[in-house]
Amino acid sequence: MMKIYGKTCSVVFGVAILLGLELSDVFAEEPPSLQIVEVEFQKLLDHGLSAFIDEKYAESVGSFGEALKIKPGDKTALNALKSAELKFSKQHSTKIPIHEKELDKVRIYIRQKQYVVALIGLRSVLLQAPQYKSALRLKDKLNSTMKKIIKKENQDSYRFWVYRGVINCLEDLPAAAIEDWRKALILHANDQIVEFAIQELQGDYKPSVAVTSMVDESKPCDCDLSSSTQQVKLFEPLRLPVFASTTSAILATLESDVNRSAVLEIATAKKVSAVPLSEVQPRMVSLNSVDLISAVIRQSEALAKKMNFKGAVQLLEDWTAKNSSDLKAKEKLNQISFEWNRSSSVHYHLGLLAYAQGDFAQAIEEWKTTLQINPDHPSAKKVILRAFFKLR
Amino acid sequence: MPAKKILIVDDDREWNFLLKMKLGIAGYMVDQAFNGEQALEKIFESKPDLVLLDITMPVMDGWQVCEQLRQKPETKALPVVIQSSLSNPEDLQRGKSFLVERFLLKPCSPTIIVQSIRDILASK
Repeated sequence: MMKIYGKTCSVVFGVAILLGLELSDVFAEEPPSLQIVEVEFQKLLDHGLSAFIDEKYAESVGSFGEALKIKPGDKTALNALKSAELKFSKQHSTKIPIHEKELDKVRIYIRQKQYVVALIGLRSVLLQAPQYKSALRLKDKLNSTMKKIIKKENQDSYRFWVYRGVINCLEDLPAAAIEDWRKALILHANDQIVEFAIQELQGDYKPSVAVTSMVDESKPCDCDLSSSTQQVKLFEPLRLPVFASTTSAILATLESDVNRSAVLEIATAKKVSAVPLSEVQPRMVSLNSVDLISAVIRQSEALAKKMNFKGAVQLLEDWTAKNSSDLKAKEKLNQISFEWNRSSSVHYHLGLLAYAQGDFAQAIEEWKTTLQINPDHPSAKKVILRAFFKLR
Repeated sequence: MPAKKILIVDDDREWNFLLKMKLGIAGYMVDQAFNGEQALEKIFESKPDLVLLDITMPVMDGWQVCEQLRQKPETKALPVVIQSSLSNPEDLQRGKSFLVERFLLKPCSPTIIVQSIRDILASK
């Protein structure tokens, strides 16, 4: 739970009430009975929200109803109850075609500005029901929305290429869409949703033997998994799944003498296995330890630059655990950890500010960035949901 | 022949949704869970033919789910495919000890996920 200090600030006070953050601090001077009531109200609200996320709408309706008994007329609880009741009725209505439920989710993703997810969802519905009118209408609506918002983006920015890819896909230009998304991936290499979209559009995509079989058709695996080099060998057949974001894979690849070109690819934060390792001619060039340290530090900097602080910290932690005397890496670890904390906090507070000003869409964006920077942020998921209800 | 049931367990809602759509097109009946506890509830309730399981999740992680599944006779042989960004040798060994069918590294091609599921279910 987040602590709110400085009760004299009315904005913070108001936001704290709306968001239900550490109310025991805010209400410290209230009579004990009021505190208990407030805590009970928040518990019911939180339970209702969790149930809503888990699509247990009946339970959600129950909790919000109970919360309203404690605080009749509370706007957050009222809005939440309405949303949950609507979802519950849709969930239990046999009249609604199955695709309509999927389209509902697509609409939610559009509202959340998750346009690529929305596009893939919409495309999936249309693949199953090409003449489905609601889906076709939504396709047109998404297309016009994208054309409006792309004008606000800087050309050559990550979002610009992502949005342009969405537009091209909606206009049945898959090759152009793939091209645009590839440009987006150059700017943000770890976007698995965009990767997903590219693969969806690549109709002729044929996977290689790209999985690591654990049981090998019920035979025990003979590999010695204790060394990282062995681990790389185990991943050799992987064509797409191994990415530089997998820290142990990076370290394993850096430590192995597979070849220097693979290491250089990592240093530029590209996919490890854009070219399958098995197809690369081993040159057996040994890396000396200085090269290795530099590569680890360069890679961590590249990850941090892309706001993948978690990946950068994990990489450096793994490295320093094995190389405790490497002061340079430890220093970099401290620096990136500090930056991680600071960035996450800045976006979280920008979200609070936007929320207080009633700009719920912006608040959701800021908190999403917070979660992107720090997926374990204690409050971000909760407040996103609150802003989401407000937006509805 | 009735469609096979797949349960996707992943707290990443966007990814979970995309996989659901992908597997739906591939002809499977798909259910979703967003944490381990919810996954166990759904497994015992709807008895899926295969579970696609993430490891790092809130409430109850994927390993705890595997442990519970392997302890119960009715789910002892339930095929489990792990999709995770964890790739330490210890994790792979752990997967092996829980008899998981495949260990897919995230981010993983959806086509590969579908192909893996198809292969596993065809062999059963």
